[in-house]
Amino acid sequence: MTTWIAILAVAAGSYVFRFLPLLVLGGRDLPPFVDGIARHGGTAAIAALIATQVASGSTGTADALAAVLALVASGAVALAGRGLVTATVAGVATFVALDPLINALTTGGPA
Amino acid sequence: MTATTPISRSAAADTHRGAVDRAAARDGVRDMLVLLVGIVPLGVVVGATTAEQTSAVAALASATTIFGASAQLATTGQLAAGAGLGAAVVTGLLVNARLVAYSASLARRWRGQPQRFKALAATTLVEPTFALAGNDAQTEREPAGVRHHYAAAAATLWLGWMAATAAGVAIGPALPELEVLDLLVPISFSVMLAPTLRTRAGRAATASAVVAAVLANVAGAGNPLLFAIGAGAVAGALAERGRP
Repeated sequence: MTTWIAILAVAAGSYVFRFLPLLVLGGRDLPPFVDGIARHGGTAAIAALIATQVASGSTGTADALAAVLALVASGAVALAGRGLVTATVAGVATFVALDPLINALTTGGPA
Repeated sequence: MTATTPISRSAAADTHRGAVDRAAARDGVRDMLVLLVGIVPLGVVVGATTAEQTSAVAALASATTIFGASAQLATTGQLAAGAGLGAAVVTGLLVNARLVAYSASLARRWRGQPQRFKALAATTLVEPTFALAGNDAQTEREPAGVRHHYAAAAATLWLGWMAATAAGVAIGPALPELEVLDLLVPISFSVMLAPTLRTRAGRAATASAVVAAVLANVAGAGNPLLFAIGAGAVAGALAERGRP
């Protein structure tokens, strides 16, 4: 039940975000600071989610480092204008290549 | 993004009440199909992940109602991690707060469009549809053509997104337990985040959110995610104001 309430609440709130400005703003603009908060809130949320997911998913410093390097690789490929698929493959390949290597270097043997 | 040609005079004359501007609709479908190539893999990941965190039905329901990968993953991810209902809802809404800016931008372009169109179009407002609506503003379409272009693009996106999500729900249980698969969601997020790093404000928002998340985790804060989001949003807005 909690899951369904959460989904419906986020869906309803998201629809308000999507429709309310269309309904009330017409040709007017949001106040600049409010507009900035709205736009950068999404960026901040995604960055925070990445940080917390890496921290909670990693089983140690070596894994966290390999994960961070994988994220940097995928982000760099995306910044270079490559598509989602290419960037994702770059991130996965980086992790697969570096995780055992970093674990071996930090523990003195295979993970 | 492919260039679109202005509609012909005869097509414009035909777009009376009830008639469909077929050229505009075809443009909408074609333009969205190009974007779907990159969106489908994300849909598969989102479907598999949210189905594992909740259920197959909840994954499909959230895909169509929330209609945003990052907010959907944020909401179900928080619940799966043991967060309370309030925290999960607030997190999902904060991730989707950017939709206010998209809607405000389209409010100018869609001035004069019927309210029922705006009400329906709002259900599918997200990055791909916003981007195509913005590109379409460069063409010289009649108002009906604008509506038909958006509706066709949005319908194409919805069908593609739901198909990809369903595929993810179906194949998710068959995927092996590999550590790298747990990274697919953060990797997808990093790809979404990358374009924002081109601006100073985007970099400020990102860096502040990451630092705040790490510090809040170390300090054992009650809800590090919300603290980090707030810090990042304010930092981004302030960085924008600080530009000379």
